[in-house]
Amino acid sequence: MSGEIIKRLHQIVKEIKPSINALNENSNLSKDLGLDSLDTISFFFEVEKAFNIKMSESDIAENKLLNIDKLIKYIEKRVDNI
Amino acid sequence: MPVGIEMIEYFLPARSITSEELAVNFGFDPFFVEEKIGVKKLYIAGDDENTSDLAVRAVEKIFIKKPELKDKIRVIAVCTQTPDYQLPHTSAIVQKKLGLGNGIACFDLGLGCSGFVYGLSVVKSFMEDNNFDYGLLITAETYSKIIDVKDKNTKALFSDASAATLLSREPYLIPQKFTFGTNGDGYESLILRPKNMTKPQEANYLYMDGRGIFEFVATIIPEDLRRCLEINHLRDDEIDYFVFHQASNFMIDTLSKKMGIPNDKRIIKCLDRFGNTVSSSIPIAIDTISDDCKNKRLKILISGFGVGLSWASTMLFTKRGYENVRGNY
Repeated sequence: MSGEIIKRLHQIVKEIKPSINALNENSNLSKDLGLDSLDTISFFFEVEKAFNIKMSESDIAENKLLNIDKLIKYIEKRVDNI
Repeated sequence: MPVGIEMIEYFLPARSITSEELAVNFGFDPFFVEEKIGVKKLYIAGDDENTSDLAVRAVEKIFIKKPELKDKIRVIAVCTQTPDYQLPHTSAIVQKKLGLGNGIACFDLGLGCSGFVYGLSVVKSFMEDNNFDYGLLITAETYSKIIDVKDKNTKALFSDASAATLLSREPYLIPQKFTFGTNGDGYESLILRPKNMTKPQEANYLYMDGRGIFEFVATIIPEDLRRCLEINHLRDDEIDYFVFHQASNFMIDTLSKKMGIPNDKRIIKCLDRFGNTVSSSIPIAIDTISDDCKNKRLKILISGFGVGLSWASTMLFTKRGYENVRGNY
């Protein structure tokens, strides 16, 4: 499951910032991948669409979802609950 | 001839701030401001300069070119969300400052970035219904007075400006069918309210939910544009120019991608020169292509969207294009 999620997240990141070649579980969207605040808005919009979930601003902040490992766990949990 | 746009004039305040100054004084990344937002300069009304003053300066430019209009204007609609006063309506103040006669209808439209397109339909219908020959649609905002200078979401985005659009029966741009929409569920996405909601007596500031606005622009507006094309019996490859509300480069690029026309040269962008001037952004953008509009057969899709959440779109045919479509009239 997490393999599929990370693959999809990589596709989304690459659509937003084509220069990004590598994404792994230790990546941080802002610090490591250089996504700015607008890129991040776009990223979470596409993630919501791809996994058919809604993520509030507080969800993102409280769960530290800029970190890919935390985001994968969050998506797994949310998708399981659907 | 149907009522349409005969002339557009705009006014920008003397005071301004550059992207470099935004970077130095407020800690913005210059690349972010210039490339992602798309802004190189923002205009700021003077301390004693109100929305009505900006409105009057734009209209005066029309009267310099056509002084005889002073006695012929029958309606003034001012679209603003930063009125001089909560009451009276700003259009009455504009009428007084312009020294116009009393036989004139004046009213305000309380809309933001969709206001120009709404206003176009309202004033056109009002003129046609009452058999008026000349009317003014004025869009004017002084958002600088309601922006929290520490708020990075809005500080590098909005610009003060006004635009005066003369509507008459001798137009160079003729509006076609309109689409309109509202999603009040998102009314808090762009709102003027106290920073601390438990202290309503404190000053109001503009708050913007960037994610909420993005989702709105990325989902609802492409659907509305397709609907506008459909009701006007046109395909997107038949459009000569797309004039979207100049929200930010990022928003325009997002909308273009969702429409399947990324990086298309037909998409007008003038954020760098003016910033996001709210309801004036569409008339100002149209003015940047006015020579083409006056000389060619063109079809222009315009779309305004923002606070409310509210949106409206229509097609503008240039006079030559209209004659081509309709034949002799």
